[in-house]
Amino acid sequence: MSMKTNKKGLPLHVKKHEGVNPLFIKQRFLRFYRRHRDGVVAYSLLAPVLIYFAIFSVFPVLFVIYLSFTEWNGLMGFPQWIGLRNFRAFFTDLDYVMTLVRAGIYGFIILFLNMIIGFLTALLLNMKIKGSSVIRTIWYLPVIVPFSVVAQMASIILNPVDGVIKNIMLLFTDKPIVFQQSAYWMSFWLIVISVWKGVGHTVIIYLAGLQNIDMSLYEAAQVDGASGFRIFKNITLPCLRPITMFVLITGTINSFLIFEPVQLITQGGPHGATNTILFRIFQDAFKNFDMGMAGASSVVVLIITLILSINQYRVSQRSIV
Amino acid sequence: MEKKFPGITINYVDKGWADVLRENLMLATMGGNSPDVGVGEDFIPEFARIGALTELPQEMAKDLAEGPISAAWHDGKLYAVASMTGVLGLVYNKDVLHKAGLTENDIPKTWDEWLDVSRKITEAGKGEFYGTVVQNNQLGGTFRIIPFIRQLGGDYTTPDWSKVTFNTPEVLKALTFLRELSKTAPPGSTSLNDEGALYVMVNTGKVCFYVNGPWFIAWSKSQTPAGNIGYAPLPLPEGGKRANVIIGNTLWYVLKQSKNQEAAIEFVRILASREYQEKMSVATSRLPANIEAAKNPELLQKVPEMAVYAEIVANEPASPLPVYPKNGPKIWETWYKVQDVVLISDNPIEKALEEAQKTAEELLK
Repeated sequence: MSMKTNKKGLPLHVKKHEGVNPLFIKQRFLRFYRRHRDGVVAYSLLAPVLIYFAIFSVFPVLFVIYLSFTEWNGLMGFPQWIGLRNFRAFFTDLDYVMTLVRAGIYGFIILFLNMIIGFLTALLLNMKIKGSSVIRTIWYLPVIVPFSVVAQMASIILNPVDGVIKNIMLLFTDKPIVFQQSAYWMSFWLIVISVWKGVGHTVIIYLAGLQNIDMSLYEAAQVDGASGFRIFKNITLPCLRPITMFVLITGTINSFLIFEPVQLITQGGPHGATNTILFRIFQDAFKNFDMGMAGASSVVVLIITLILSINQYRVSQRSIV
Repeated sequence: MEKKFPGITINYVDKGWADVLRENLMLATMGGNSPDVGVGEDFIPEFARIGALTELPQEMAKDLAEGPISAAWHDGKLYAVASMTGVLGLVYNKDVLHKAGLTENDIPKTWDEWLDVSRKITEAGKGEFYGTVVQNNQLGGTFRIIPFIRQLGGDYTTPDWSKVTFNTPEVLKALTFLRELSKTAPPGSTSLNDEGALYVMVNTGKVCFYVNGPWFIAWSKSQTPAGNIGYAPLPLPEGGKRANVIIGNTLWYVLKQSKNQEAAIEFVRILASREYQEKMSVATSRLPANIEAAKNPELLQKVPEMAVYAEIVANEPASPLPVYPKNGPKIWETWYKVQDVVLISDNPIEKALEEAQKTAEELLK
C-alpha cells in the first residue's frame, strides 16, 4: 500500500509543527544519498582514518602551537598566555640555538655518510658472489636492533673506565683517550653509531634500485665496447637518480631529528656539547616540565621540517618531470 | 593499619630515585595516575607548590630531626615525613690503604692530607688501584660537592634559598680542590653516569676513598665478597668548620590525587613513628630520622660502623639541598654543566661559575 505524500514528499498526515518525523529524515537522507552516493561512501570509508588523524595528529600540533605562547608546567592550573616570550628566550639563549645548529650539522653528516656508504656497499653486495644473501642480512641487522640495545653496546665499548676500546688503547699507550671528556669525540661516536644503525636501510633501497636496472642496457653498452667506468657513469648512476632522490628526501628530516643516540648514549654531554633540539625539547617537557619552552622549540622544528618538506617536494616533482 | 583499614594492601612499586623518580612521579601525576603515597628526597616543595601533595598534620613532624624534615615544608605547611635519613662521610677501602703501605692512622683529617694521601695511593697503585673517586653525575655529584662548600661557609644559595650563590670564593675554592682530587681517580671515572659503578670500585679495591652515606654499609656487606671498608668524617679545609648535607633522606608524602587519603595519611604516620623506624633501621642498617629511634642501642650494636655517621649527625650542622623558588630543574641543569667543567675538563672554573651564575639569575627572574 503506497502512502499519500505532498509535493515535498512528506506524508500527508505529517504536519510541520509536529516536529522532526523519522520518516521525513529517512526520505531526506535517501535523497541526499542518491545525489551524493560516491561522496558519502568515500567519506564513510575515510572517516575512521580522518578521526584518528584529527585526534592524534592535528589536535596535538594545534595544542603544541598554542602551548608555545604560554607558560605551563603541565599539571597545575591552565596555561598562562605570555605571547612571544618563549620564542624570544629560544633565540636569545645560545644553548637553544646551538642545539638546532648541532642537529643540522649531525643530520647533514649522517645523511651524507649514509648515502655514500650505503651506495658503495650496495654496489658490492650487488655482485654475484657466494653467500651474498647472508652478507646482505648481516648488513641489515643493525637496522632491526632496538636503540636501547645499541646504547648498551655503546656503553660497554665506550666505558671510560673499563670499556673495550679503552682496553685496546691501553695496549699502545699509558694515556688512553677518555671520549666522554670531549665534545668532538662524543659527536664522532654519535655519528658513527647513527650511520652504523641506519646504513643497512639505505643499502637495501640502493640494492633494490640496482636490481631494477634493465640488464639489456648493460648488454648493449658491452656490445658497444664501453668501459666499466663509462657503464657505471652513464647507466648505473643515472638509473639510480630516483632512488637517490628518495633516500635524500626521506633521510634529510630523519637525520635532522636525531634523538635516541643523544638520549641514550651522551645525554647531551659533556656539559651539553652534544645536545640536539629534540633532546632539548624532551628535557624541557619531561625533565623541567616547562611545556611552554618545549612547545616553542617544537614549533621552530615544525617550521624547519615544513620548509624542508616543501623544498623536497618541489625537488622531487622536478626530478620526476 | 590493618585494624583501622581492614582488607587494605600496600603495593610497592619501584620508580627509581632522584631525577628519574621525580620525572616518573610528575608524568604519573600529569596523567592522573599518581600513587597514593610516594617517597622522594629533593622535590617535596616543588610538588607542594604545584598542588600535587596533601598537607599533613604538623604534629607528625614533632619527633623527627630538624635537618631531615626541613625539606618537607613549604609555605609553613608540612607535606612529608622523614623516615630513613643520611649524611655524608669518607668511605675508604682498608685493603687499598694497606697495599699502598699506609695505615688507618693515615686517614686524612684535612683537605691537604687527603690530597697528599690520595696522590700517594694512586702513585703506588700504578694503574691497578687509585686514591679517590670523585662523583660527578648530576644530582649525586651535586650532593657530594656541597659539604665541601659548606665547610668553607658557602652554599648553592643564600640561606632563604631566594638567590643563587654559585660565583663565590668558597665555591671556587671547593671546586678547585675537588678538581685536584679527581686527578687521583681512575681515568674516565668522573664521566661515568652510573653511581653503582663507583660503589663497585670502592668495594672491590680499585679505589680507596669515596664520599658516601650510611646506606653504603649494608650495600657493601651484601656484596660477595664484602669489601674491607672503613668510615670517617669528611676531611676539613684549613680554617674551615664541619658541615654536611642531608642525603638519602626518604621523605614520604601523600598525593592529592589519591582516593585513599585517610589510609595514606595513616600509612605515612606509621612510617614516621619510633616503633617503625627502630625496626626498619636495624633491618636495613640505615639512620632513622626519628630522634628517639636514633637512640636505639640495638642499632649501634648490630651496625657498629653507624657510630661514625651518628657522630657526624651529632656534630656537623646539616641541611638538605636548597630548593629554588622558580625553574629549579633548569638551574640544577646549569649547575651540572659546572660539575662537568670542573671534573671532566681543564676549562677555567671561574668562567664556568660566572656563566652559571648569570644563567641561574636569569632563570630566577
